[in-house]
Amino acid sequence: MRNRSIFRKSVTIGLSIAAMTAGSAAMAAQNKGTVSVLNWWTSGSEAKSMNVLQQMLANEGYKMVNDAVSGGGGSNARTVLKSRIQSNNLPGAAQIKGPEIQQWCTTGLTMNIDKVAKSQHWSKILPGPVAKGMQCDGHYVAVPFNLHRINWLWINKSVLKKAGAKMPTDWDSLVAALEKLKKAGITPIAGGGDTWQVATEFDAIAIATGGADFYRKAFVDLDPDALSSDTMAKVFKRLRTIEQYEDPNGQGLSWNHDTGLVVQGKAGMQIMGDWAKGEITNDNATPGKQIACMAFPGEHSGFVYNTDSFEMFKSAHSDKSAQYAFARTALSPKFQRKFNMAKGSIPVREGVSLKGFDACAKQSKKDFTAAEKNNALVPSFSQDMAENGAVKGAIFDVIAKFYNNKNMSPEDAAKEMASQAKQAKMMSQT
Amino acid sequence: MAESSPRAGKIAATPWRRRLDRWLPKVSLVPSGLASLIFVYGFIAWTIWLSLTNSTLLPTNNFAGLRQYKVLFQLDIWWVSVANLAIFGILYVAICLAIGLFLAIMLDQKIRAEGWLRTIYLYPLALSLVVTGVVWKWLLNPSLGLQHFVQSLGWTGFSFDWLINPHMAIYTVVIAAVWQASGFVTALFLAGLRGIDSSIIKAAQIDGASLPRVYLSIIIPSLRPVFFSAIILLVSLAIKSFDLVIALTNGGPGYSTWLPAIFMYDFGFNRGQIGLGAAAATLMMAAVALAMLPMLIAELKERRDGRSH
Repeated sequence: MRNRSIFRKSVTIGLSIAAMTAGSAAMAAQNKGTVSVLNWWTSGSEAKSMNVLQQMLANEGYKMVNDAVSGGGGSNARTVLKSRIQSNNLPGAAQIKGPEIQQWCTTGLTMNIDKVAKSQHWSKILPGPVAKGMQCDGHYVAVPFNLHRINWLWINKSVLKKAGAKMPTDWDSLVAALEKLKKAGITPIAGGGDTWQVATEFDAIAIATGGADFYRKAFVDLDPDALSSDTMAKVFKRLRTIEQYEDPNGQGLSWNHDTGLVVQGKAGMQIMGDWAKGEITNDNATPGKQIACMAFPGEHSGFVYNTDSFEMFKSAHSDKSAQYAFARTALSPKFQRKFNMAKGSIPVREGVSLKGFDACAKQSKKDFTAAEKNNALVPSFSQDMAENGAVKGAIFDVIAKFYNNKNMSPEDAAKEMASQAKQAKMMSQT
Repeated sequence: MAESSPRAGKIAATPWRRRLDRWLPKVSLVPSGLASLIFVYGFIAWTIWLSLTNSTLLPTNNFAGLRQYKVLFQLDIWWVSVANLAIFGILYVAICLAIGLFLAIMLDQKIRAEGWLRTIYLYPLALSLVVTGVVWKWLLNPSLGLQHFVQSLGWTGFSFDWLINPHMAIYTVVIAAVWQASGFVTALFLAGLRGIDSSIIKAAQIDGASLPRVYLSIIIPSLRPVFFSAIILLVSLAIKSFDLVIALTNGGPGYSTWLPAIFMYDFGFNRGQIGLGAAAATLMMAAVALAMLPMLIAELKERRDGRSH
């Protein structure tokens, strides 16, 4: 009897809690609407920024449900998205980038957000290639969050000085500096040899060696002539040089470990995107001061960009008005400033003050403006911005094969890249 | 019903109960039977079907024949994965069996502290493969682990850099996997050894057989069922191997330590080529079936023959 009454009591309590939560849900429903947001930003500054966005939407009366899925650099979140689509439980917005945005459009599940784009004048405030990347058949379906630059070279100034080397200005002076670092007994370049890291280095070398037109022809158009060209062979050759200045024992260590080595003076340089700044700041150094940032040197200048974005879906569990508000708020100057300052990127839209950003961010913005004018703005293939997963994977495979096989000639690597990319392209277009 | 009603009373409960006794096990097996029908065989069928379609980002039902298999067979990375599985699988099973049998025979010599030793050998199995992978990753890292340690002891010429050598990295996976599983195989063999009738051994000794002779001709042959179950377990573990490689080498350097399971996952889920991933999965399943079938047949035949004698 006693047990039973306890049971009854707990049921009553449970029910009343349920009623209370249902009540608060009802109150939320009295708000202007809900949007569920699937993303893989689960840690550090990125997760905090999502909370900021959530708060900003709440102030406007919208409820943002933050469905963050950790792990796998986003691949887990993508798997969740697929299973949610299969079970007809679409999120209102999902973190999707690059050409995958257009791939999802073919499912007919994406939502048109031209209304927001028009009211915020996206075609004017967003850089041309970025704006185009957010569209399907001329309609906006996704909202960009930031602008990362890939082709950076991070240099520990005092280590360079100690080794008696000068700041590099072109390829030859870079190799000279690396040689001096090596003689001084310092690992010249910190690079883990993990394929993603090697591809990021390849990205930087490609734009510096071949320029924006070559880059676009090869990685965006997948032109077989450009992929198997002498220029591509030269890019591979330079990758071999870089590889020889890396610590072979560093194999398998993560990029942020490598950034740490540069900050601690155990290594001289690192080729990495500007998210490395977060790691530099964590180690109590200032990007642009102790650790210099410069565009990876070569014959050509350019800006290889990476943009995180969220694609909108027609979702039964999200309200259109809240989805619009999510897109609008994400591109608001206030959020753009807060988010990009924390993430190490620069605001993706015009009209945001860079006051308080570090020197490298200001440099990034300057180079970006110049690149946009000279048509030297290219989407990064190593960060999924230029090709879909299948083609990117095929290109990565060839780079990994070359990097780990000293007997493979640069010419053969370029040829193999052309044939593998072609096949993967064919397979992914069905 | 009409027939049974006159004989009601005390007997009536019994047939009902007997019927219940007969049906209850079957009824209680139905849910798990249904579950495995759908979630094992149903999904196997679905995977095979997907491997015959041109599915990319999402599963589709557009029949594409054997196109995925054709492409799969042209991919260098697939053959690297298959070759790795062959190297890994053969060495893993063989070394685990050898170490397991050796340790079990040693433990069976009525030694002191057997309980302690058994526990120590069995402990690695309690660890998750991911933990094993991470520990060995640091142990085998040339500038942090074993090589560094031995060099710091004075042997400066010592080199052990398999982890970063694309040709040797797959052998580090073998080392870690063997470390993890050989204790378990030891336990299997030890149980088998304890099950052997000691009077046979005594009879052989009276007949003048030496100890190695007793082991080679009597004990090891009678461990046949243990070999059978150990090999089945190890082969299926080898073909499924995924987490250990991800934690130890992450497939690297490059893709030199990829296994078919990693191929399947990466192409199916990361690269948006579900059809190709399904083709790889189907071939993996076929490989398991091929590896198991002859052994199953042999074992069943043995049993039937054994009964007829």
